[in-house]
Amino acid sequence: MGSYREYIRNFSIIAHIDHGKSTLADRILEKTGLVSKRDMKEQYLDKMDLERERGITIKLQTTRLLFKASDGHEYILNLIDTPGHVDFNYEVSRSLAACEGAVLVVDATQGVEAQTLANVYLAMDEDLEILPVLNKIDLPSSSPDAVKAEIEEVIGLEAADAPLISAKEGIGIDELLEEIVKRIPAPQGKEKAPLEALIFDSYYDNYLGVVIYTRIFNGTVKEGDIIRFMNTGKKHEVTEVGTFSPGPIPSKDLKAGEVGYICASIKQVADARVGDTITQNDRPADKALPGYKKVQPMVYCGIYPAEGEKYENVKDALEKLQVNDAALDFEPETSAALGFGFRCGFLGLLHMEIIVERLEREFSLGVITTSPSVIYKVLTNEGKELMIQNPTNLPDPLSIDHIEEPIVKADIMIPNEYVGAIMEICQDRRGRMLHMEYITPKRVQLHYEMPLNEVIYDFFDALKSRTRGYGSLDYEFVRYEKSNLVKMDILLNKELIDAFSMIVHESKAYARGRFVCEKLKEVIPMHQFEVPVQASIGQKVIARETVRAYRKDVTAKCYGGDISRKKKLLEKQKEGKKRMRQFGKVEVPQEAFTAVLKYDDNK
Amino acid sequence: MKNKLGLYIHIPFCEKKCRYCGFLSFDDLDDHKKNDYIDALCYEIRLCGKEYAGSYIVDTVFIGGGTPSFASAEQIRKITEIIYKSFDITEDAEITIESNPNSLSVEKLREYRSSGINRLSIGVQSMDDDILACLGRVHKKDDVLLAYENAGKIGFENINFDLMFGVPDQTLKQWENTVSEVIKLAPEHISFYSMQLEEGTSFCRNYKKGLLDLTEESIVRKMYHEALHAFKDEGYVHYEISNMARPGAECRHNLKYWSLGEYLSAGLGASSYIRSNLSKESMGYKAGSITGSRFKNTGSMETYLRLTREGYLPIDLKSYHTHTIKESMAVYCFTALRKTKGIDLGDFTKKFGIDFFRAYRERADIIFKYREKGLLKITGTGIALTEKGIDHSNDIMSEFV
Repeated sequence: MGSYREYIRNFSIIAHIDHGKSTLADRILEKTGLVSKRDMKEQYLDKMDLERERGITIKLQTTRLLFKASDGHEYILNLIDTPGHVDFNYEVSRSLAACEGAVLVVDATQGVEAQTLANVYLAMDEDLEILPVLNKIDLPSSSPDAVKAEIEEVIGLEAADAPLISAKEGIGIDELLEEIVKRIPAPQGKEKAPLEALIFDSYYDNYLGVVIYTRIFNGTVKEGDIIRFMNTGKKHEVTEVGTFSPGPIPSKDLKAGEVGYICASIKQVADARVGDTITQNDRPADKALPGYKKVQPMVYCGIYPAEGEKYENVKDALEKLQVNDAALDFEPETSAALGFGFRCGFLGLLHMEIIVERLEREFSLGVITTSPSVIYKVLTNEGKELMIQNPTNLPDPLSIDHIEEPIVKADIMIPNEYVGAIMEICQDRRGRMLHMEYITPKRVQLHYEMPLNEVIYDFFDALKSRTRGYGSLDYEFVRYEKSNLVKMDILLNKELIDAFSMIVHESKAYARGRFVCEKLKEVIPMHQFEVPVQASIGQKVIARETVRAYRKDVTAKCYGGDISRKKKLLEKQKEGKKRMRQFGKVEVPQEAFTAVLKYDDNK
Repeated sequence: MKNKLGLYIHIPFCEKKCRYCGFLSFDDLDDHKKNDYIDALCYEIRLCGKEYAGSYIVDTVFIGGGTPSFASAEQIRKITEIIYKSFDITEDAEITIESNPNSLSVEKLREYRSSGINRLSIGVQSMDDDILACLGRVHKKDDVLLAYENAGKIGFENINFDLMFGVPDQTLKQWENTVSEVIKLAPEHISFYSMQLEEGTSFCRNYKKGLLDLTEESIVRKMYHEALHAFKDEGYVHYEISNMARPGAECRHNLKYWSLGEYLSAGLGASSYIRSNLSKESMGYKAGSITGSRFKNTGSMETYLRLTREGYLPIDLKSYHTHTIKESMAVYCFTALRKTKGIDLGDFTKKFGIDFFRAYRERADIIFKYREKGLLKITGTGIALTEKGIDHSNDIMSEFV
């Protein structure tokens, strides 16, 4: 008795997006006195602008807190944050594996959502003690009793005594911390045993190199130790260990049960893979901790420098981002239309959007992104198997025996009144319903198998739009399946623009072709001549539109001397022009590449 | 010697909001509210006078809207009187009021004359009753004829017609008719603008719902060029993209907007431009270079009334922007291109102390590219859009910002 471990609690906060996870984390930091209210904004919330704007957590933030409980003891609480999006499921599972318990935040005005469930299942897989908490109880629209009943019914968790809190108003936080200490078990482990430490995240620091976030399950690690990553086999000498509060604070060692960081002069986060096990080189553990896998990109797209932007700059920026993002994959490629650029792989569409936005904001780069694509498996007549992530590389149709595409299992949670609408969009996207369950009389979960290519295209937007924002989605890869796929090309002014080529299911080619042509017609500015926009499969034109000649509003009224307004208009036009690419005689704005992917309710 | 100043006075009243109009104006103010506004406007003009009358003399006044003629003659008189009291005015000042044909009674026209207003701008838009109905205008062709006749009788010798083309469903034939009817009436000045879809208008809402089709752009351009030639043939001088006039009747107030002329505006949401000369060497440009500040009044009626009542200029401070020399040059160039005379190279050097081609040496190849395409012409004295270039003016102008 009396082990230091008795006073440690390792836990995560899990929630559906927008249910208040980050706010709660901030409030806990504030309560435990780690961050003063005044420093709150710049210290914690401001880590990444993008995260704040989108209200999602991309990068984990792990912190060690001290809490004096009512039993008179001071406890070390290690709060291990989890990323909040379906693209980062694997990272979430590894973070959870580092904990003994999870605080499950449910919005008392919304109830259980798809990601609530997905996260709970991940936590259950790791045998965590789950502590349900009802948030936003200060809102008049909250209905704690109904939501408690829902948690019990849907998840099967005892929720009668679930703390009622408002992270925003700071209500119930002390009680919650007491509950964490009482209910979440202290970590187990032997500090004298061979080292077993789980990597659950890492980031790159200019001075320290890669900083590994780790949970020590057994053994002890300290400066000077030679460590080995059991899955990749790489060896490094430890230069520093410590804990976060919330910045890194060096310590003498890290022992079984503790959470902290290890630095070992590692140059790329890809060398310290999430899920890998760290052990001592001269006294290794018998086997690695379970659950490791190498994350594979699911979605690919081309990233090209916009007009006037240098290839080298884009390359440098991608390299810098990759140092910190093991899931980002890229290699050089060329496009007849766009010149030199990169084929980049991402975990999902959100991951892709984030990277593109970071290139634009943090590196001030103008880039053009091509249609995202999944990886197709192409079997040739000679029996060769090709993995194709760029439609342009699809071999001659005559040499192809068949093509297979990735299928995902999609779990969709919606209010019951939208079942019809969502079944329709799933069907429309070649979904096969596995089953459907009424989680409560008012809440339905649909389980579908769907081609990933349909999901990444516009499914999420369609789901949100048709359910007025109430629908939620979670998906995972299941297998490759043979499918009737064709390559559709786009011609502008009769010239094929390879950057617009896409692989589509034959049954949907006509509709997609028409849609893409209509969208391009909208976004391509008028030229001095008519620009035909065509979609074709092989030699066959399947859709056609024409961009009319001439430009608008040159002789409109410029009123009451409001020159500023005219100036803004011209600036916008110029900004647009910078992001134009010249294809033959036709100028195409950057937005054209994304516009063809956007969900349109009217189509 | 005092600098010349243009005054713009905004009257945001309308009998009924037109379906295409996105300008700041209301058709639901009661008489009480309108009186409050006119009082506030008078306060503001007085404050402006205190601030600027010492260094400026006013040579143009433009009372615009909304529909200034929808205000009572008495209200307009109040405004002109306060202007005369607050500012020095040149002998030959151009004083314009905008009007709607159906609200121009003989009495009103007389009042305007006796208030010193010497230029009348009539919102004709079209001489076709169907088109007028489509636009949501409250007047008919006959109102135009009557108002124009009365204005002439009462002694207005400088009258402008505002015309609009590219109206949904308008045929080329209908526009040609309007052009020839206007030529018959022979006003001194003609403004002709293409209709533009403005956010927040009834047209825009319908367009988004798919209930409205816009005239095909090629037809709109054809309407423009046809009208331009028809008016030219009648001896009108094309001096600005959308404005033509009998020689000597060019709108001096309008020209200020396109020549970095200074103007001060009073009224809800109105924009001003006040210049300043750099007194010291700055940013590598010669002393005497021109720069200036733009600002805009608040667009909220409540704020406007409160601020003026409390004795403040109702400027929206967020809008206040002082141009750098580079920005001044950009504005000078793109606004100058609205004029058919274009960028006056001599004047450019005089204003900025640097040769145009040196200031824009990095853009020179682009200027020559447009010239090769026949969109810009370079003459001994300046750079201007060709008639073909007008169709691409935004594109060309944006090269300078």
